[in-house]
Amino acid sequence: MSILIVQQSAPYGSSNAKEALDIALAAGTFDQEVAILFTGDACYQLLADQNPKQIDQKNISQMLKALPIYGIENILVDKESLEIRAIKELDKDLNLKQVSKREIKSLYQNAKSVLRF
Amino acid sequence: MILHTLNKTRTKEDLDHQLSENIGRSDSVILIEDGVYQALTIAHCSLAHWANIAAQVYILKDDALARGIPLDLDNITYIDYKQFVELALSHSKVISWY
Repeated sequence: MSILIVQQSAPYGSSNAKEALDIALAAGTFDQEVAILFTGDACYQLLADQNPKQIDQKNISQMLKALPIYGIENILVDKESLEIRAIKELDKDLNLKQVSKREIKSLYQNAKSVLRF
Repeated sequence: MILHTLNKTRTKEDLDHQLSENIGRSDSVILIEDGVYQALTIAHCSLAHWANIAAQVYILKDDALARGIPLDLDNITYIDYKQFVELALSHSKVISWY
């Protein structure tokens, strides 16, 4: 894997989620090998039924569904972060793989570059 | 061999925790901006803390000076911007924790 993008922010409180996604899509467009890891509060990006129209924002989870179109299939979520936040149901249309602490460490250690948002 | 930059105080606990979990023994940490305050507490942190795993802990001297952090703390290497650049080049990658 060459680029690891680590998302750690909730979807609408800051522009981090959107910026991380922009980078991922740009890298995907240029055929870079990308993995996205959702950890910490970024797990909230993965909840189903988000409806941010009221706050004049675009639906992040809908945008995440575009990732496979850009060749990004490696979408990972930190199992422990989900447990801490009592998140049991994730958006089923996202093809997520839950990863353990150990797997996350090896992602950090082995990626060619790591971008955190 | 990764260089980790840390720019937040220890109040951002989750960040410290994540760094501690993912750092390797050959990696180093450089404290920058508000991260330099962490230099005051690393002498008494747990064995699982990043400070006790990192091969080296560096601190950006200008940021330490600016914030009144002593310039003679043990087990910390004080560096300037030029050395920061050299470290960034000599490590396989840089990860920013912020």
